[in-house]
Amino acid sequence: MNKKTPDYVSTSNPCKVCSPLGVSLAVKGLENAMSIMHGSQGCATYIRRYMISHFKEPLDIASSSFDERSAVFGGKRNLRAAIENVSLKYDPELIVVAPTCLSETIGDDLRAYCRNFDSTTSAEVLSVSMPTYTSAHLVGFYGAVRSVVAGKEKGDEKRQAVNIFPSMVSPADLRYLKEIVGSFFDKSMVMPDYSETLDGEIWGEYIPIAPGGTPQKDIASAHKADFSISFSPYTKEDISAACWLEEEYGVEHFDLLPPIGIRGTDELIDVLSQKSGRDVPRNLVRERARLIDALADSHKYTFGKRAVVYGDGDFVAGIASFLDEIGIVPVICACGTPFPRFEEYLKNSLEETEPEYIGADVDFRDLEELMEGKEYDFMIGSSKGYPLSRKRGIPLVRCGFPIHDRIGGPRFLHVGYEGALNLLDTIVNTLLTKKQDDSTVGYSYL
Amino acid sequence: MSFEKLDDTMMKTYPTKVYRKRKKAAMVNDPGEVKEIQANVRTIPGIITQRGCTYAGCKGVVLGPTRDIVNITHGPIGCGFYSWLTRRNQTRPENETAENFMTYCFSTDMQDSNIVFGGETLLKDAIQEAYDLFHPKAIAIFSTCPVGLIGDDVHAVAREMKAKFGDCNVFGFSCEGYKGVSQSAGHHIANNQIFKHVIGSDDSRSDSKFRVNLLGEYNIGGDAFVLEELFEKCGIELVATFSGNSSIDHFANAHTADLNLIMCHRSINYVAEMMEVKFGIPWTKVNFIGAGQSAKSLRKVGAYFEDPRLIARIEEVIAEEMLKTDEAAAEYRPGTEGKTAMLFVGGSRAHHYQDLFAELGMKTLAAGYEFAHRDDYEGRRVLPSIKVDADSRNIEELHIEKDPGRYSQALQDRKAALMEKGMEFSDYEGMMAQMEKGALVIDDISHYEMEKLVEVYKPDVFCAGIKEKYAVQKMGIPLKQLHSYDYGGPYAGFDGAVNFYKEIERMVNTNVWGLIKAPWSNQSAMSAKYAGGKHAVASHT
Repeated sequence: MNKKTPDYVSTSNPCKVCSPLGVSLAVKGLENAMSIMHGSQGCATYIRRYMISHFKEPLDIASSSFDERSAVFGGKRNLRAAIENVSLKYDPELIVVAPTCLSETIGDDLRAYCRNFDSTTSAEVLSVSMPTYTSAHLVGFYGAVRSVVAGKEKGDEKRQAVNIFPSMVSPADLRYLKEIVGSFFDKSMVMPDYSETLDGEIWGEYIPIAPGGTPQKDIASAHKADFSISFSPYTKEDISAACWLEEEYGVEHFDLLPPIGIRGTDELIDVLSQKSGRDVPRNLVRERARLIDALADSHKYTFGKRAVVYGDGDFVAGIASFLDEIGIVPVICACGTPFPRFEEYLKNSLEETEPEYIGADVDFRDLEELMEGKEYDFMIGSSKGYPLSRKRGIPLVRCGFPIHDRIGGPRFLHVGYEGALNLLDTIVNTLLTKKQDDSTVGYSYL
Repeated sequence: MSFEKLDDTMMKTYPTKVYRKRKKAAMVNDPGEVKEIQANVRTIPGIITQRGCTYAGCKGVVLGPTRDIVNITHGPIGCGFYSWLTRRNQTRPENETAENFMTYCFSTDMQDSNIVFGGETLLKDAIQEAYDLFHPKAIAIFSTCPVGLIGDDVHAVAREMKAKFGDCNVFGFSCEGYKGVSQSAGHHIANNQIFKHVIGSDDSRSDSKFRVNLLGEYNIGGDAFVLEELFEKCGIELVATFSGNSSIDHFANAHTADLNLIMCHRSINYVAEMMEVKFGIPWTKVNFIGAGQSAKSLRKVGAYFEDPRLIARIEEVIAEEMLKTDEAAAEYRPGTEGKTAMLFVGGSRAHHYQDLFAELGMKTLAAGYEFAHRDDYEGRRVLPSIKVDADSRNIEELHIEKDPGRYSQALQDRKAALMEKGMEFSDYEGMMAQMEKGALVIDDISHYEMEKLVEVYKPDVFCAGIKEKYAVQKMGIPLKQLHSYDYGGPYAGFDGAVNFYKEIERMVNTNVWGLIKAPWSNQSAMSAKYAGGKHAVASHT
C-alpha cells in the first residue's frame, strides 16, 4: 500500500519544528513557570517569534545566551546567571531548562547543573531530558511534561482524582477538555494547560507571567491521583508522563486515541463516566446527539471525498479518524516528524476507509510528490501546507499548529463533540465554497 | 518623570553586577554632547532580549531576500525551519520562469550520527542533490551551532563542489549562532562572503549614465518596489540592491556602479567599505524613510552626478511626490500632532522612523537599537575608539586591496572634489545627534525594561517586533511592528510615507482600549490603573 517517497538527502519544506519549541509550549501551560533555552539566544528568539505569530500573546522565553567560550567550555556559568536573572525579574515557582542542539553537542549535563542551583533561586529548577536533533516538537512537548512530573518535589496531599495529559491541542481544546472532565470529577488536573496563558484576556497592565496554567500543587500530587489519561497511545513510553506515573507509583493509566471525532470522544467519556461512577451529563448527551444529527445532514457533501492530512502524529491520527467517521477518505496520512509505529497507529484509528499512503518523517516536498497525478478534494493541517494547496488548486482546511496566515488558531476547537461539529462545519463549508467558486453559475443555494 | 526615577524603577532592581552593566546602555540624550553608550556587547543570560543569533542575521536578513540562490541550512531542523519564508521575502522574479527558491527551505536535518561522525558527507550529498534538481547559479551553505563544534569544514566542501560543478557558484558561511553578540555578527559574515565570492564576478555594464547601488534595503513590505519605481522615474539606474528584491546577478556586477547609497548602515557598511577600497566606489548615507528624507536622499544623488538634467528631473519628481505626502500629512496630522512614540528595533529603523513620526508631529520619547554598534548611535567618528572585544575578533576581517584593473580613480577624484564643496561621504552621524535633548536612548532593551518604560511613559505608540507586540498591547498601548510592518507597508519613499501616516493615525486613535472596562461594571475586570486609561474615558462616561 505504501508508495515509497523518494529518498532525498535534504529535508525540504519541513513539516516539523524542533523539540525545544515543544518544551516552551508545555511550560507555558504550567502555573507561574518560566522556561530557559540552554544555548544560543537565537533558539529562544526564533521559538518566541514562531509561537507568538500563532497565539498572538506575550510569550517570554529566556536563554542562557551562549558565546564562543561557553560553546567550548560548557554553559554552566551562563545558566546560573540566566536562572538568577529570571528569578529576579519573573519570580517563578518553577524554572524548566531545555537542552538545545548546541548544549547537546557539547554534552552539557543539565541534570547535574540543575541540582546545584539552589542558592541562586527560590524556584524549583528542573531540566528536560530529551534528544534534540533526532526529535521534533511533539517529543519536546511530552518530554517536558514527563520531566516536570518526574522531577518535581512530591506533595503528600491527594488533590485530584485524575491526571489528563493532552497532546499539543489548542487553548480552546484545553478549556473544553477541562469542562468535560469537570462534569465527572470535582477535582482533576489537565497538564499542560495553556488555555488562559496563551489565549488570555486584555489586562490593562503588565503581568510578567500570565495567570493560569496547571497548578504547581497539582503537579506535585500527580502521583496521588487515582488514574491518568493520555492521548498518545503510540508515543514512546520514555517520554510519557502517564507511563512514568504508572511505573513509579502504580497510577492506573488509560492511553486513549486522540479525542478528535466521535469514537475518540466516546472513549474518553466512557472512561470518565465509568471511573467516576457518574452518568454522562445531559449537556454532553445533547452535544453528541446534535453532532450525529449534523453528520446525517451533511453526509451528502462529505461522502467519498478525498483528503490529504499532514502534521504531527497525534493530530493526523485524530483528524484521520474523524474523516473516516464522516465518510471522507484520508487518502494520504503524512506525519511530519519521525514516528515509529505510525502506520499501526493510523490503521487502528480507522474503521471504514483505507488510506493510499501512511508515512512518517514526510516533508512538504515528499508530500507534493505523493500527491502527484491524483485528485484530492482538500488538504487539512497547519498553514504551512498553503503553498502546496495553492499550487495544486485545492482548498486547505487550516487547523492544528501553527496557523500563521489566519486569525483564531488558538480558538479553533478540535476535540470532543463540539470540536467534531466545528471540524465538520469548517470542512463542509470549505468544500461548498470550492464548489460554488468553481461553478460558472452563481448558485446561492447548494 | 525624571530619568533618575526611571532608573530606580527600571534598572536599580537588577542585581548590582547586572545593574552596572545595563546602566551603561541607557541614557538621556543630548545631541550637543553625545555621550558614550554601551552597545554590541553580550546580552546578559536570562534577560529576555529582542536579539537573535548570528545565523539569523546571515541567512534571514542579508541573504534571505535574494531569490535565485539555493540556501541550504547545515544543521538540525529547527534553524532552517524558523528562517523559512518569513517576513522579508517579497520578490518579483523577472518573468514566470525565472528562478525563485525563496519558497523552499532546505536543511541537512542533522541527526545524532552526523554529530558524532561529522556531517560533511551529508552536506556534499545535499549540495549535489540541490544541483541535480535545480541547476541553480549558486548554492549557499549556512552553518548552525553544532557545525563549528564538530569541525565540519563547510568552506572546503563548498570549494570542492564548486570545482566539481564548474557552472555553479558554491560558498559557505560560518555563521554558527553562538558566534556573535547578536545577528549583527551574521550580517558581517554575510557581507564578507558575498564580497569574496560574488561581487565583481561580472564586469558587464549598461550604458546608462547614473548608476548606483542601494545597500541595506531589504524589501520589507515591498519597500524595494517603491524605491525601484522612484529611481526609475528619476532616471537613475539601480545596479544592485543589497538585498531587497535581488538576484545574485545584480550582486555580481554591483562593482560597476558609480556610487553606493547606504540605508541600513549597521548591516551592510562592510560591503560599502570593501567596495571602496577595491573598486574605488564612494559611499554615502541615505534614508528613504519619510518624505523629507527621501527628497534629501534623491538630491544627494543629483548632487553627486552634477548633471543639470538629472537634477532638474529629480526636482520635478520630488515636487510631484511631495504634493501627495503634504496632502496626506495635512489630512492625518490633526489626529497625531503632539502624540508620542518609542522605537526599539533594528540597527537603523529606530533612527530612520523618527523622521516619519516627526512628519506626523509626533515626538520620539525613547529609542534604541537591537543589534547596533556604538557608531550607529554616536556616529562613525567614534570608530577608532571602539574596543575590539573577543566577540568581534571572532569574525574574520577581510584584507582588501585595490584591484588595479578595475579601481576607479575618477570616482575617487570626484568624491574628493565634492567633499571640498561640503558633500558628505563615508559617514554616518548616528541616531543620537538627531534625537532631541532629554529623549531616552537604550541599547538592547530587555523585555522587563520595556514594560517599565511603557508603564511609566505611556507612549501613544510603541514600535518594535512581534515578540513585543502582544505584551505591549496587553497594557493598552498599540504596537507597530517595524520588522515586518505588521505584514503591511510599504513605508519607504513617498508612497510609503502616505501609508505610514494613515496607519499610525488609525493606531493612535483606536477606541478599542476604551472597551476594556465594561459600562455595566463598577470595578474593572482588571486593575483600574491600566496604561491606556486616557483612551478609555470617552466611550463610557
